[in-house]
Amino acid sequence: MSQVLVNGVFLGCLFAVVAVGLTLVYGVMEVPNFAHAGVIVLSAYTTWSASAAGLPFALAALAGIACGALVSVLTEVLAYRWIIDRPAAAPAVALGLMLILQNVALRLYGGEGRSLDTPYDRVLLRLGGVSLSGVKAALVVLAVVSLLALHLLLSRTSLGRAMRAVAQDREAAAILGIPMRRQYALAFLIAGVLGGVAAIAYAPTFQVSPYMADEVLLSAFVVVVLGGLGSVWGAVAGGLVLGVVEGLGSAYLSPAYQSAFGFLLLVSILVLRPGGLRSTNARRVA
Amino acid sequence: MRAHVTALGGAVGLSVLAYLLLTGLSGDQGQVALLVVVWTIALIGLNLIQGLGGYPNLAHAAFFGGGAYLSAVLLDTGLPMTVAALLAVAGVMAAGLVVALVFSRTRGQYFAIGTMFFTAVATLVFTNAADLTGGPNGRPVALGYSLEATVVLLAASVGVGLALFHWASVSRFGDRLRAIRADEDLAQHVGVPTSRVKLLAMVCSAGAAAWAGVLFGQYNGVVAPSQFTFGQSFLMFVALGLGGAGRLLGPAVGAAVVIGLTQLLTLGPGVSQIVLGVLFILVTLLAPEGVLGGVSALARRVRAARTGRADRSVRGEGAVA
Amino acid sequence: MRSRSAAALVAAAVLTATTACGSPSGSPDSDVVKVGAILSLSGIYATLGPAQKNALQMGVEELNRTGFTVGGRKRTLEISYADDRSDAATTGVTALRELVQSQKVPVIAYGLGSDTYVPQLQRQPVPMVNMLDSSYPGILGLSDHLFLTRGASPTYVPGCLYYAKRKLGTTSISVITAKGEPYGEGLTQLVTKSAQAEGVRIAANSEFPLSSTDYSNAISAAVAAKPDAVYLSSVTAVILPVLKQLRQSGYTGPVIHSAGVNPNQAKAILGAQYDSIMKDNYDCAGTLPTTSQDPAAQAFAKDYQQRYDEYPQDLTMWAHDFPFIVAAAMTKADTVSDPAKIEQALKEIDVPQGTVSGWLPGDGGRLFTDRNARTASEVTAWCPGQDTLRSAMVFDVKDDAVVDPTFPQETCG
Repeated sequence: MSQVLVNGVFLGCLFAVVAVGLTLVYGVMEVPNFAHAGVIVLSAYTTWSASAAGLPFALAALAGIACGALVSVLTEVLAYRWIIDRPAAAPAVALGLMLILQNVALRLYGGEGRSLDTPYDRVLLRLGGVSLSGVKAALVVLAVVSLLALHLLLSRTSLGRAMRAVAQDREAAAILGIPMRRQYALAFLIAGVLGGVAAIAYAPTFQVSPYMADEVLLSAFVVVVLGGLGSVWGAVAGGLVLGVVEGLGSAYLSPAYQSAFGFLLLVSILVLRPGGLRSTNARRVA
Repeated sequence: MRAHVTALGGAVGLSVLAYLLLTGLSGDQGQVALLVVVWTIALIGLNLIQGLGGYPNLAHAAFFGGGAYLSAVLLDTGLPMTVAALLAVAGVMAAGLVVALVFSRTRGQYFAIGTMFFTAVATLVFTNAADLTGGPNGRPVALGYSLEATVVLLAASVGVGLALFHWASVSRFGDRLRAIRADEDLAQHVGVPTSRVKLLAMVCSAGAAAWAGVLFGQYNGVVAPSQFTFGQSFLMFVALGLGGAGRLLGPAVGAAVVIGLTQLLTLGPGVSQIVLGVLFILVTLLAPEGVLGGVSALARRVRAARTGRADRSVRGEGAVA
Repeated sequence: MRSRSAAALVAAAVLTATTACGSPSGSPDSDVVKVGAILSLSGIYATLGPAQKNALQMGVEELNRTGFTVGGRKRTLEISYADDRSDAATTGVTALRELVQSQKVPVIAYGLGSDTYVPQLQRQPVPMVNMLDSSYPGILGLSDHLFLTRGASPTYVPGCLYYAKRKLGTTSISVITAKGEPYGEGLTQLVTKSAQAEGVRIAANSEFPLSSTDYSNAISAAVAAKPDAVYLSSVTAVILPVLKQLRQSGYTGPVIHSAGVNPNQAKAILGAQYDSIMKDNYDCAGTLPTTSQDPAAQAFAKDYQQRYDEYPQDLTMWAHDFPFIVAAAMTKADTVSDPAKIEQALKEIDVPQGTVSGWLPGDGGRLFTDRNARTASEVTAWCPGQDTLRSAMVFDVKDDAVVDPTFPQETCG
């Protein structure tokens, strides 16, 4: 039972990191950023290439994170920025971006999965009756560190305060003189960094492939809705809840329908509170 | 009156074209023709709830797949083909009713996300309920209709579907849906029975998708979960928008563009998808009313320039035409 | 406005249609004979297709050096390849229609998706030779037009348990299955049956959904039962990530599978630690060209390794032999274009010259018995530090029991 819980926490940290990247963008631009899967994939491949070229893992990981940030900002500058006043057009653009990014990876590296090696591949942590492999423990550590860093950024820096202002009320923030273009780019930059962290943490537990992030993204979307579109702490809490629910469900009920548990949770939320868990009133949507 | 004649003329013309393409092309090109025709039929249904009603429905691939799988399962029990087909469509329409009821209070982004997850779960069921569905590799479909009969049905369904859509669009039902798209709360206040209208639109659109699925199963002889994922739902959603949501021929244009690109561009793995992605972005940025909307706007501008009149703003024209 | 758009659309579409029509089809009695091959060149079965294509090319070149005679004329063979992208139901079926309707090939080699091709074969029958799919329950019952050139799973799975019990001292085994993957699911049924027959206890039977990326539940269930060995039940691309997580979880005992993992795949999918992960791995399937006693097979293995710089799997032998089998059938049927006659001829030919797989002839020296051609079976073991496999046991199976087991004295060094 505790082994299942530990595994659920691992899943939860993964969902949380990806979901926070999604929800940040949502809060600032109201865009469902499916392209985030592409950002994760390209970061993972960059890390893999750098590693294969001989760089030590730490440097390769930094290269991957940098790539994630760059790609993410590019999606904003080249595409999302232009539909900021038309939220209904966002899904088409998001899908287009995801197709482009995923298939660029496919063209460059082929469709077979590749292994991402880390210095802690052979580590096995044991505590009581519970064991956790090094790569999974690394994901938890990376998730905690990056989310704490984000929290500090949002609460202690003027940049972070500006972002929260934009998320609360875009028009008011603009009137107050906050430079909007910079805020959009910044949100995507941070989302890209988080995507890169997710990539280097997740890839070693599975493999690097153009489709590696599809399932995770789906679950991350459930988390974003659970926690409320735009709420960072909602995403973290929602991620952990969903991770544990999916872990328990797949261990004790049916492994095949793992993501279905998330869906049931989501449907209940949508039926009971059509605006999401943390919404206070019916927002203007689409 | 003229609008009705041209609409019916277009419907018949496309039917004949569909028949010619399906019987004339074979092999890979034949597959493209099949998919375009099948998607056109399915998207006509989507045009009701999404095009006229403005609800971003991402459950369509699930209804499409539901029709295909359900007909395959019913055929295995020995039912005659037409009975199995009608039962399959009825079954999926019932599922559409349930989905509409469950999401009756959600709108916009949340409706899209909810229906997307419905499709994801439907795909999970298609993939894992292997006793009925054959698992991830799909299952064969007993051939109840001959190939010739299937082709005739496909072509006829295009025409009949378009005619029905036109009739719905110009009727009070269509007006009500457009009112909901414009401003649902206001529509409710002026007395439009919005919940009933939405339910009916959803059920009808599910029926169209299911019928397309049944015919697809009969032509292809096999159905597999990969044809009915939430990614496919998304492509259908974008295809309709690309063609021109709410317009009579939007489904045909959208299906032709999306399928044509994904199937005909064989420059290498993934290239067609990249081009498709770029196309989605460009069309969204430059022609927000889809290809047909862009063509209309362009033609309008050309006409206005030719008659020497000043350029009128085209935004107010609406996508109802 | 609508009528104008409609008219323009119809015109454009008709134009496209007419220019697209009229695809050329080869003349029915030319000297270059075209046949088809539908292979998994991408997707989850992508570890199988490219090697098959390589071997087919080798076989065709060898055949064409001397050519074959049909109707008094010398012919050469040409293969039209199609990729089913590991999705027979969608891509494979389209490819089949393209090959049969447009290119009018009279015989097709393929790997997977038998049950989804059956409806097409009902509408337009053509003999299809399966060079790969040993799934249980067997494919031959699905259609009379299907032939199988390899031994099915029941001809080698019993050897896994036989070997494990006698040489590894296995008394209990855990099985991890990929749910929804037909090859694996068939293997699991056979493993359970054979284990019972050998008196080996099934310690645990866990499964994971095919699309998942986290196998911890299945692995912990399997390992918690403290088995003497673990059997991974699916194809290479699916079981290697599981193997990696299995070793990461701390399990150090023997691992058995029937996927035909070769060193190149292990390196690519497992990464830098592949050698230690593959230690104590045993594979039981058909005989491999590299460990075969047959000189023709060994020569083929050497040529293949030299030409493609990759370790030849068992399926390469069977693919290599396809051109020779087709040529023999066409010669016997005296036609290069009539599918029905070629299908009948396939049932009658002997083991053709030029084949390297070591086919065990049936009654009257025929290649196919009940449309099945088979070779002997083999258990191979990973050689640590050397990127090769060694033959651990060669055997045959009759009535679900292992017969004629031999234990080659070769070691890894």
